Amino acid sequence: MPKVRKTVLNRVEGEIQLKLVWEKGKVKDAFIIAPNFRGFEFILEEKPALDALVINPRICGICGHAHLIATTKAIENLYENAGLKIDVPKNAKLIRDITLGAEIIQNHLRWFYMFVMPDFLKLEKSKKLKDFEPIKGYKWQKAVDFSSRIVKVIAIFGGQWPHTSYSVPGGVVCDPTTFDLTEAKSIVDSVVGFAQQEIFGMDIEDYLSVSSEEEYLKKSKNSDLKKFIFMCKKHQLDHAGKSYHRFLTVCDMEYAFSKGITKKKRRNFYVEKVREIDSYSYLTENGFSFDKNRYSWAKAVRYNGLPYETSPLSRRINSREKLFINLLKHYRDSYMVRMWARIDEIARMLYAMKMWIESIKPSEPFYIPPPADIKEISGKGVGLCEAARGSLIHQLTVEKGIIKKYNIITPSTWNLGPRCEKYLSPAEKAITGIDSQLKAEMILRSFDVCSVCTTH
Amino acid sequence: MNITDREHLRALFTKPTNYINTNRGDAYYRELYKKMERRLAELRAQKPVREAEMKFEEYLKVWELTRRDFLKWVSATTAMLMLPPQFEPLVAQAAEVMNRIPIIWINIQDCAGNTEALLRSYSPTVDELILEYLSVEYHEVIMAAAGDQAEQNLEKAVKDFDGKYLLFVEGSIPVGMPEAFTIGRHPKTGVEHVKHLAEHAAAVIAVGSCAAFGGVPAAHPNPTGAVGVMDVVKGKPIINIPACPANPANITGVVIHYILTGEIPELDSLLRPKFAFGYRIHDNCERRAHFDAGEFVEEWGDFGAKNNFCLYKMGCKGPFTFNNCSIVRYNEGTNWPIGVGRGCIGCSEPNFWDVYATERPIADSPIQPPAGRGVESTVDQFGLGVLTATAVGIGIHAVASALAGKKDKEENKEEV
Repeated sequence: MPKVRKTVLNRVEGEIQLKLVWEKGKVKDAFIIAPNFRGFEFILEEKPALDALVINPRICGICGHAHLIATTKAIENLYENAGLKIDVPKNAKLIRDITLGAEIIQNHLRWFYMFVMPDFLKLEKSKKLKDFEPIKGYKWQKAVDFSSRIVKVIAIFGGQWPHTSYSVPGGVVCDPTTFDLTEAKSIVDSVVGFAQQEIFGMDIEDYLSVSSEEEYLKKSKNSDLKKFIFMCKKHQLDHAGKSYHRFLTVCDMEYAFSKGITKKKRRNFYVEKVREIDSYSYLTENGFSFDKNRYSWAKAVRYNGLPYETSPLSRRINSREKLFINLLKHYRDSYMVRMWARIDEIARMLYAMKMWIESIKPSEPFYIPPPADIKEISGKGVGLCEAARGSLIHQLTVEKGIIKKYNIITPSTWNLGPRCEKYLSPAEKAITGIDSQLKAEMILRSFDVCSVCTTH
Repeated sequence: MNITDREHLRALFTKPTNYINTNRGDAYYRELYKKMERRLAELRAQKPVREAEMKFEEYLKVWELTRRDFLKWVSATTAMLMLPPQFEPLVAQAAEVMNRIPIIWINIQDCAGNTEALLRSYSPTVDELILEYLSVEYHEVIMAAAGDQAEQNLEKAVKDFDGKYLLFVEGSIPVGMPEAFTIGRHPKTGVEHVKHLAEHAAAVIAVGSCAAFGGVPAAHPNPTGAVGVMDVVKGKPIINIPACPANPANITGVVIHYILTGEIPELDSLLRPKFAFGYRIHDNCERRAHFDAGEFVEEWGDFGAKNNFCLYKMGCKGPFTFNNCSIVRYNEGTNWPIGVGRGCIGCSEPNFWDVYATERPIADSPIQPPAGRGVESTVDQFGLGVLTATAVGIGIHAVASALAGKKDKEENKEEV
């Protein structure tokens, strides 16, 4: 009999549990259990469509802003499908990108220093890492500080963070002055300084032109990313944690990444090919079911029937970034590569944010009134957005301005959802074959666990 | 009568608002000062909850904060608690003995948004004050231990600090569908979890609108039968700090108050501390002048929006919402929703998702603002006026009096 051990992993908000089945010292099977459920999709039904703008950001306290953007885009798409296209002003698009970028950066900073590095403290038990100790360590504190700083950019344009609702169909409600833009830019610059000095050990623009691992290790000074790479190699995490080697990204962001799906070759993404499968979920077509084989509040999501990883790594691959194409050739989609892509995104986003802020023209509009009142609109809409953890999809059906059906597919549902009859989820697949419990947890965390989004 | 008629609106909103007694006379404050001094001395005589003590000064240094930063925070907090400036030294001392108070922080049906807001709090932030210096014995989001280890830590903390810890709860509790939240190796439901921990706590602090009133999960049709802490926990002092997310300044305020007095602050009928929820957003709104002048935003992006006019007609719920956002703001005072022209959504009021939320201007909406008594209700008038919870002294060294006057009317008048 294989030894069954159940581990509760509770370092991220909510209570994602990891159940491992062991055989001959290795993980034979892994179940990612998401036991927390609130029922947003039910709450949204029969509510006025614009209420979704206020309700949806509350799905998550960490990436709620992405939910706001996805909701806004879904309602704008609804207008478009009704033959009433809204030409969202360029300024509004830029502001949405800037705030989304800020949210992504704060998430990656927090995640790397508060969740990932403490794992290495457990693995290494060496005094060299004392700067990374939670609460006491200098680097830990710096990271909290800078991740708080960057969200002030969201506060400048969006009023508050978390849970802002300043983006509406037709644009954004704020009307920033040159002063606001300068303030935002100075915040971004201060975070760039932190990233250059602590994370990358080199100038950000130089880092972005790096095309191979060797080149990075040669060019960068002592840095946290470098430390991380060395530690991964020391603990054989550079080749562990491989998943399906399939990547999905649902939308473009200028200067940052482009959409697509990559199996062997890169192709276009079509939302019609996305399906949710509920055979292992408590949530079914016909209500709730607590049958024995069901183990998660999340549903499995498949593209064209296949599981895909959606993450910063997917964004790098679908944008054909040379550095990551090279890393992938050598290591495939391992723990180290997946993590590196997240850290890499801090640089890419900071660079893009600077460009975006400079492109804003305060004298031009930030909002254009939609051509009709929402109460006159019926039909369907899809909102696609790239959030910190990957691809976010909102789909809604509206009758005369009232929501009849709302469906949310979060990045964590793609990555951490349950299995379907044929395939394990990408994270479950990545964990099988691992020989230690800590490493299994670490590999799960390489997907940046967010249980509240997984189930919503 | 046209409800958006300027005269009508002016009549509605220029009525006297809430009465909060911020001057109780010299004798009262002298007595209070002495009591607080005694309480602080007792706490100082105790050992910190954790063994390895780092002096508060050292914490400030580690975080690269100057004494001046700290004193700024002290002034702000003293004013927020509605104490006269001579209490500032006491507030400063209270911050320094924070590590005598054990804290347990749990998350139920939540989004971690309140923890997030907390990690982005005022300077010297809860990063230093609560997270660092306050003895957080257990916190599901920020602690390093995971899995079984974490569960053992929690049980140990409950045993070691039985009856002494403050329990912070984030997230609503799914009473109607226990399966919607389970925790641990031997799965406990959310209800069991909260009841168990509340039973051994000195007091329970519900952080955020979900923990206070059920929040978003409790919105119609409330799929999981979610409720707030006060519907599950009985026989313990409960403080609600609603809003979505709860403002970190108010969380620290409650803790400082507890340290200074050993009691919970004066609460309104919804168990919200009056120092934070005693005024309406509208009362101190930066756009109030435009309201009084009848200048409104009529559509996003219009002339009014560009000139920061009043957002009432765009559905702002400031006139019906009790909270101090207009003074404290968010993200270290960077901004707040009205600041960017979005309007208030009433997130610190119960059931705001169903009755207050988003685009419906109150003017043409069927809802009855605060508890059906109209907008002129003050924080005390709506609800039942139950102030009993405030009378419960809590903690190890409870001293007799609290800040903003316990049984508001009679007693304090006598003292004055």
